[in-house]
Amino acid sequence: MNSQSKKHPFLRFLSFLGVTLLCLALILVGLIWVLEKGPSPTMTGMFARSVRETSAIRWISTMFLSEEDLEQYKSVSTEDAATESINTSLIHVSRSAAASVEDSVEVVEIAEGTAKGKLLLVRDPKQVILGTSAPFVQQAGLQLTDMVAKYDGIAGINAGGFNDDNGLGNGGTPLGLVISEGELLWGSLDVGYNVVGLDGNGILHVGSMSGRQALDAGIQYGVSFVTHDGLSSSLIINGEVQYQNLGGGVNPRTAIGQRKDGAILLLVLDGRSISTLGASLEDVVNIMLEYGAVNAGNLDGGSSSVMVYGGEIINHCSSVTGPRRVPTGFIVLKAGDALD
Amino acid sequence: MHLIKSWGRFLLIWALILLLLGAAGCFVLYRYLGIYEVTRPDAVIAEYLSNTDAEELIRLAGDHVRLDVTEFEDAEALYSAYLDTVDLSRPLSFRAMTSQSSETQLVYLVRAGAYNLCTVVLEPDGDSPGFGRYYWKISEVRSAAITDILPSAQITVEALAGQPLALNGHPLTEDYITERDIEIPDLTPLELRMSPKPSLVRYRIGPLFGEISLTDENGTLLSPSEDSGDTELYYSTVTGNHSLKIHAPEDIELTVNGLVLGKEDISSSNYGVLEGLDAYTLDGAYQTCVYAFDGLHFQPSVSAKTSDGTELEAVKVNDSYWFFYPNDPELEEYVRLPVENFFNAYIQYTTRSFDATLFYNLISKVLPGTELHSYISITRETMAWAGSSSDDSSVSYDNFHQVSGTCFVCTARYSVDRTSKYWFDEVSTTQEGIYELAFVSTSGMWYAAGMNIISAS
Repeated sequence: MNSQSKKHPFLRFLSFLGVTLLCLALILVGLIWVLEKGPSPTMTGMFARSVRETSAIRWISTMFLSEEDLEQYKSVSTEDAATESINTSLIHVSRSAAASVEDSVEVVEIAEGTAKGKLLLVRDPKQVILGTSAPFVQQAGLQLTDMVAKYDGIAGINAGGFNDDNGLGNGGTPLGLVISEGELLWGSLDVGYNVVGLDGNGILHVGSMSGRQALDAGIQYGVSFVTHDGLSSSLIINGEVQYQNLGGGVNPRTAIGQRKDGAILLLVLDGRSISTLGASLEDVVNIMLEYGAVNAGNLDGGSSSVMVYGGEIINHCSSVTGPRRVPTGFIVLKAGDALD
Repeated sequence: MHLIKSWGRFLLIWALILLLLGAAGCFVLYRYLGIYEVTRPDAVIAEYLSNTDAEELIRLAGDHVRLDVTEFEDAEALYSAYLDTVDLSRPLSFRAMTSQSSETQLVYLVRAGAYNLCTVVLEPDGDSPGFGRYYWKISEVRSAAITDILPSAQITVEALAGQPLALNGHPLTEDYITERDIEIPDLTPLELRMSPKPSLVRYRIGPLFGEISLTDENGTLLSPSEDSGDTELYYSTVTGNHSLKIHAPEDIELTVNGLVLGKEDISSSNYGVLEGLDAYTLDGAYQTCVYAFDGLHFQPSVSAKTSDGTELEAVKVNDSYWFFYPNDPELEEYVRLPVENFFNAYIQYTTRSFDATLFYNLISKVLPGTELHSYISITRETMAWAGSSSDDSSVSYDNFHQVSGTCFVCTARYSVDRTSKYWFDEVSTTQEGIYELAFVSTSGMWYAAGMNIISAS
């Protein structure tokens, strides 16, 4: 027997590993039970919303919570599409704000509580366009580094949502609406969307509108985004926080905002890592307000959240398989290439 | 067999240790979450806001308002503007101000809609129940940074050196001058001859909060230049589009900003009100000279004096100055009656409903054959349409000056409240005018022979 055991050290290793993993799994289940059925409804809601926003692990939210239980933790958007629209007179685009080409874009390190990431300050809003991997469907999306290079830009962030069934999407099929150079590339003229886009004057529009209304508003570059819970992308409209849209848990986030002087704020917050679990939409809003945003919209977050600057990804991309392919991204052109 | 049993026992013990550690971890997490839930400062502030309305908050915050204002700002007006700006009917919300918070003091910014309302400060309430967390209570409500809400602007003013200006009603003193002796580009030939040459000074003030109004020496509100932004206001009082026109008898010495004008500066000249009266003016006729300058960068000061040094007062109409000879009181006493008779008849004729009597009364006081006679005669038809009445009038006379034994000139100013009837409508106006008049004597009677309307409204 002694010799038999010595002959099977691999079996010993397997049995040790199996027992350890089983115990860890049981412990994990215990931790999930504490989070879902523990004494803190606040934490239960945050945990439930966080996992629900992640396609691959949504099922965890129903391990110990029934659908009825989850209802009370679901984010509920009650945006009044009829009344909430941006007031363009609040934005005074000053293209002379950038003293030089080097001065036109600034990367700011963000560390607000548990939210960590990067904010790109683009002083001339006309430097920002929407890059796409059009014609979509027929081909996969582009990694953001490639998309920035395609437009000869200097920076970019991911933008709208895309079809990603079971986390297997190739980033080639947008969800919602895509407008580029004033043309509706994806979506319908008569369907309502939660739009985030820039008009010909460099003014950021956020709000609910149909494709036709978006084009009528002069939007040249726009996408739409809505969270898994159906939260609108509108975060701040005319300086007023759209609190009804601030559900969600903590996750990597991408957002775009605009100051009253027209400067565009491109924000990517990291998550799902040791350094930070992620940021809530409330964190996003607080950061946007702190940096003077008058209007701001939420974009596709999670493992899609990525920021490129100088040809490299400068945030901590949470996708375990590397940067994802995406159909759209807001691209920052070189100062001299800004649209007139 | 023994080894297998030993290995199995080891695995069992290992699993028990792991599970015990896991259970302990879960227990600690459970305990932590229990304490976390009851020590959430967000819950304290949320409950506070649910029981307090915006009016109450603004009152509490208002007790702590401290505004350091400059002489150009009014603290009360700023606070009032702030209250006007904030829409208290909007939903209240809050967010943590992490940069202003510490472990033992949490600061929350409370907003009403898009505007900051106040900051609420939380402090620990009792001992920590564990895990380094605390119960919290409201300790203070502070005014939000009002100046964050109100628009502010840095003011830059380029003005002529010595030009009196007022910012928000307060004189702009030299203390705010940051640059002197700035050359004015494209000075006109007249400005280049001035000594010292006009130059600019630059003022920098602010940033100032609230409304900004810059006025010049005449109280005229100045507008910021087009390249101003929300936070930078540029004013230039020197625009290069000023005009100056001076009308004065030929022997009057004129001085513009210290520069004495010469004959080369005369643009044109004529006999003015004495035109065509040669038979009466004799050798006393004089020309009225016109000095016209355009493209000036400022409105210069103008003075005049006669050959014997008597300073003259100008009649100023917009950018035009009119100078007349000084008043001769003896002449005025001698000829004032015919002047009054004529001018009163003129006012009555021009401001009342048409009446042939008024016309004949007026025309009888005008020398036949003169332009004035023709002028009044042809108005007869048109005056017939203007039914009007004058309620109150005031007339003054000045600048009586003997041209010759049979001719003198003077000025008349009037102000009359007039009600005119156009069809069925009544229009009330106040009419004012300044006239230069020439009278001649024939057959022992004084007749009006020339009239120059300097201004009339």
